[in-house]
Amino acid sequence: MSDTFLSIKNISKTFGSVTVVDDFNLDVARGEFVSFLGPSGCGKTTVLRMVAGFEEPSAGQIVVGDKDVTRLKPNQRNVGMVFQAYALFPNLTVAQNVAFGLKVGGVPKAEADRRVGEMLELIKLPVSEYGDRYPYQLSGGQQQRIALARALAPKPKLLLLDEPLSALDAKVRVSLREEIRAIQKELGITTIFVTHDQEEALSISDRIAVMYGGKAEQVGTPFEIYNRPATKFVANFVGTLNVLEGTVADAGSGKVRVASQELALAGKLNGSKTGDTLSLALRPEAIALGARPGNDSRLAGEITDVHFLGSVIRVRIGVGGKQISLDTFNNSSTPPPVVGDKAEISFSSGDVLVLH
Amino acid sequence: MNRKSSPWAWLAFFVGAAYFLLPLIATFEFSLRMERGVYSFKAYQVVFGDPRFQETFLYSVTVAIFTILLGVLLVVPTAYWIRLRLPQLRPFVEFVTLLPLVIPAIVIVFGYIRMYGSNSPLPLLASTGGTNVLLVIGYAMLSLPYMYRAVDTGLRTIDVRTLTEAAQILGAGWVTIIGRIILPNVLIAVLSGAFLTFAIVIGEFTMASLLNRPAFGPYLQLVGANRAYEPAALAVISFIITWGCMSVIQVLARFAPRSPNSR
Repeated sequence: MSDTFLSIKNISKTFGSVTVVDDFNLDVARGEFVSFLGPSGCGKTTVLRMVAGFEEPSAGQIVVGDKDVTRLKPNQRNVGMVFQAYALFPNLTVAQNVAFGLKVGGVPKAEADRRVGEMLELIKLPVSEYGDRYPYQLSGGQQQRIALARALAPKPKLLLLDEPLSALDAKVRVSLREEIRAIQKELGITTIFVTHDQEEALSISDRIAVMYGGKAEQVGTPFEIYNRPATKFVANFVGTLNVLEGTVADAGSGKVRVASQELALAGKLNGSKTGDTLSLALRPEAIALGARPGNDSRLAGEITDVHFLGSVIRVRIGVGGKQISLDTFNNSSTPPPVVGDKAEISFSSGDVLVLH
Repeated sequence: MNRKSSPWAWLAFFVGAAYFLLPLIATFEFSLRMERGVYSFKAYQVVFGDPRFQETFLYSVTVAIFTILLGVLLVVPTAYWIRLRLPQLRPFVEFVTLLPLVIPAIVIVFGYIRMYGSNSPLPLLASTGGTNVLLVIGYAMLSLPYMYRAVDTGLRTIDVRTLTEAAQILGAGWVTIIGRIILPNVLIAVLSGAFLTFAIVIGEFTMASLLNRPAFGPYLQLVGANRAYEPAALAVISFIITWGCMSVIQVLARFAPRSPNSR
């Protein structure tokens, strides 16, 4: 990657006999917004804490700019961080909280005051109205914005966000994540965002590192992660996925047998041999109920479940003992599918993900 | 819900109140009888006018202030560090801080006399200043159960780890973190411990007497052994000082920094 700003090289972390992070590698470009996405315990927060300096790696190296920061203390790294639990200092006002890093860094008072005003303006909580308030006088969303302003005030080289939206309600989460992204773009600051929420990661990241078992399963753009998952875990973790088990009937022609029916998946078998078992995955939006122009593959099944969700109807179809979910738009002139009816689903063979 | 108070509860309350208040009222009433046939504050005038009262009280207040300072310097960083980095040591440290309640002061002070006498490598008792230092150390230890618990309770109300990390990542060192973030957020708890320490030091007799220091406790004993009405007046004064300290704790608790979640 050109213009690498943060380089995490072969980082590992063990606590006793437990390996939490295992040979993790990542290069982040200057000004890039990278999300660490994964389930609880996958090691994403531990990697972030090692970048911040709160945990020392058992092995590996962390380079910011051209400087090896692996053994530096957190207060020597010039990194900004926003925590899940807000972490505003309860005894300080909003303005004092934002000024804390500046004061510690020896910034003259007049300049610090100007910077505090600038930061509070950036997060749309003007100093004249909010400067003298204490954290307990603010809502959760406001507190997290102040925490963001406080992290940015000393002009850090790197911004670390440790699940900053987890404690907020759904509506505030959406608006704040957009605000965070807008501010990040405006300042051009290199940012790492830890989350277990795939929608959050997909919506605001330049790239996502999907983590599992202390390793990066896949690093890519949201489009790549969603549409071309590299592993079974990524495919299952990101988005909804229908997985069918199939057997290669004829490797030469790309024929795969699924629930006694045949699919033609030429060019997608990645060197599988005749008789091999494969997992075939399809996103719900790639499947149509009935025929659709451009869909070259079909499977027959029986409707087992119908959920009316307003604008969308979610239909579940049993195909050879497996359940396939698909969404179809509600049309007031067409009656919804009926449970127990025979149905055919169609999809493009190009949308089938062959998982290994 | 309309809850009716049980008459038995009221009876228990009045018996309890009488148990505590009657001796106080009797002592106060007796302290007013110094002049024959009339109630007066003569005993109080005598006490306040006694230069030994002023000297011993001033000495004890000074010792109390140094004890509080030593206690804060010792307990706040210790309790903070145990919460932050050594939580597994907490039960052990709690046990250690409870020892002064189990080991009588007289045992401790005899230990001091043997350890720090004029023949020891650290002869603190060989000089007045050294003895004063030893008394302050002894009092800091006697007040340890109260100071440690007060501070530890204060630390429990804040997210020590996250606040520490938030300050660290903003460039703060340990002194700044403890001085500007941790201490102000547990200040009310520290003050509670400080006032309890003050109340203990003001009335303490054993250590001060055996180390031969002119403290308020030995003065109370001396007056009590030789006078009739003044000891009653002194008992009331001591009681007022102690209750005054407790009231200040209650008032200060209202000014504690509020948790961001306590909306």
